[in-house]
Amino acid sequence: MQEAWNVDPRSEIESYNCQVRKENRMDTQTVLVALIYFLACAVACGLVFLVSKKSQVPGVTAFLILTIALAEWSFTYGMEILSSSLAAKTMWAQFQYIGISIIPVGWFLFAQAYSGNEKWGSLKRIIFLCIIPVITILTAFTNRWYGLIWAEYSIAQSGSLSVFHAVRYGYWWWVAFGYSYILIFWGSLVILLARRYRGEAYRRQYALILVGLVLPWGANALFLAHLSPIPFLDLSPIAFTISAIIFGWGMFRFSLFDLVPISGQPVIQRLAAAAFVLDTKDRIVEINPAAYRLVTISNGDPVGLPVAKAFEWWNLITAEQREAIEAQQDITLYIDGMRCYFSLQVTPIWNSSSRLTGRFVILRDITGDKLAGEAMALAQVKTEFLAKIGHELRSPLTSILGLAEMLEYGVYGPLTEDQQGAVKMIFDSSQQMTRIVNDLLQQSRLERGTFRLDISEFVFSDLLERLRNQVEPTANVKGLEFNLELSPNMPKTIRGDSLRLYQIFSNLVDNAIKYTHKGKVVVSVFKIDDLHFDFEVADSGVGIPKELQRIIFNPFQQVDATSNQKESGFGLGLSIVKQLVSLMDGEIKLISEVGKGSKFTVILPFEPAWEDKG
Amino acid sequence: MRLPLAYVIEDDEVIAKIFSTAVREAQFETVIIRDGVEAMENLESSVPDLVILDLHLPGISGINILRLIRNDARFAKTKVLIASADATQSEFLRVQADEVLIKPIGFLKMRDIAVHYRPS
Repeated sequence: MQEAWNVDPRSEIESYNCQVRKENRMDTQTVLVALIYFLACAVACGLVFLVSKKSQVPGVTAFLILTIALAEWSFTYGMEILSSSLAAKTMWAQFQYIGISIIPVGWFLFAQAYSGNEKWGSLKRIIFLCIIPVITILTAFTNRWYGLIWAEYSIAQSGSLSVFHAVRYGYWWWVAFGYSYILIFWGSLVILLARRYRGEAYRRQYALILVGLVLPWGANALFLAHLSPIPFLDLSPIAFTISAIIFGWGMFRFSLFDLVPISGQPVIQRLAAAAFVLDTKDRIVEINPAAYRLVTISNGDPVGLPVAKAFEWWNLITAEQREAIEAQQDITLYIDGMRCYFSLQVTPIWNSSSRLTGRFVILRDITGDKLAGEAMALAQVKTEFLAKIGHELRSPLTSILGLAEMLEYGVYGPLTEDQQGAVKMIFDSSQQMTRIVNDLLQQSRLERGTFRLDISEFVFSDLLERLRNQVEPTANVKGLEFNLELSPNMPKTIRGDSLRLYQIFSNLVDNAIKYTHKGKVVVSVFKIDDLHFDFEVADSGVGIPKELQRIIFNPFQQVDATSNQKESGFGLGLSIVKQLVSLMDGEIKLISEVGKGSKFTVILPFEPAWEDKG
Repeated sequence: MRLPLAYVIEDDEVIAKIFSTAVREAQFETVIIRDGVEAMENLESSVPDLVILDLHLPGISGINILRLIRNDARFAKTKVLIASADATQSEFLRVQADEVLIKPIGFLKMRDIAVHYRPS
């Protein structure tokens, strides 16, 4: 059976109304229900005690405020149930509003802190959040004059249980009600949305938080809709306490508060480097896709696991690196049997109150850099090796060349015709070898960057005449037509490294003659504009296949189109030509077709005359 | 008439023989010197007209011998031809030497150069 005594607060007759109630005798039902609320209060107090020890974790302060408010609400509600007069009940109902008003704020701050939104931890914002609750508490305590919380109230009877019952709420109650729901809803939303992670540890937390959220909402909704199993009895404090127990349990069982998602997660996810966040207990809080590659456990999600369990190699790195709050060091790891180099960077994460909340670990894969470095070192060794070989060969070559010449010259007496032929062959071979050695040395100097051009002014036609004298006899022997055309638009004298220019030209013409078996070799030189001139060698030779044209200028790449005709040499000639042309700020181009012939075009700038003549 | 004096300072036996033959062919009296210390001793007692100088020598290096020759007024008229396989090092000494020859250097070339540097 239900009864209600309606009271107008301004009539000041509530004290009489309470007399209507049966004697002040406590029945068991009342005591039992009150005990439940006291129990909730005790549990909340216990939570406060336990949680306060976990002060390392963000959000704990807000959670403590929330739990204390909960304890207060439960206690005052229990006291309200125990008291019999309306005056006493009203007083306890007023005290309840301290807890009721604080809970949404505590919850909201906890949700924000837990989700890593530290901006809500500022004093200004907290004061702002407290404005409405403070007014609510004031209006509750001044209700007898203004009736802003309860416009009309009474004692409701539910069985032997009598409870304070708001028949009609005051205007401010609606404000407080709306405000509380907004804060609780907002806080819940923040927590739900912040949980982007679907890691194993987080999934449990997530489930716990959901249950913890739904319970008080459900209880409160039931009460407001007058659907409470015990009519007029607000089960919210109990529901809230159960939530608090769930949170508390989660805290110890699943380290609810320890695995706090760090803000800025999208940034971490998008990092090319492997990155993960560790909490103060070295558990992985966040991990990005790049870091998944380094995870050594075969099944499951590394999130929530101790870092040493997720990354086998974590134990391989030195203790200082592992325990470093702030560190930067290169480390070597074996991943899938591959030697990998990483630059390890550990950055501490501090919260707004300068408390260490975790560490941010970045592992940048520098294997590529390292290998490039090794390749460079290797290239250096090769270059030095070339230089060494070149030098070592020069002395014996001097002997061979000198002795052959001495024999030919007749220092050791006259030679027979056969002997002369043999000496000539020794001489020719040693000259060929000299060219190879010189190429090797030049290549090594070009690679080392120690090669310098020797610029001077010279008569250009002299250089071409020298070239003609060198190559024409060979062309004639092969029965080739040889043309050398020097355009009259070329200046008489030019500045440049005549020795290297000669090397470029003779190399190209030598090649043309070598690979042309019938037809002609045409050399033409002409001025393109005031700044450039063109040296072209066109032949009707074997030509160079397309796939080889790209690599023909690479060092040690000998392209022998005919392949049955083995040419000696290291294939350095064209490579050196190209490097020399580059050194002169020029460019070299090749047009060729197999069976038709090749055309090499060298475009060179005129060396500017820096010094005045005279 | 006394023939001009040439030192062939070269540690390689065969090369020393070739060079000295070429230089003798150019009408020089030649002395083959096989190491740096021996070269210094010889330079104390006599003043050559021409020095064919290798750079990499046992004992005292060719660079030190060149420096000694260039810093002593007694050798004011002495011509120094560097004959080395080390092109880079030789390049640095081009200013101090009368001629820099990079090995391999042929017999006839050495003879012709020696003729060129013969005191008139």
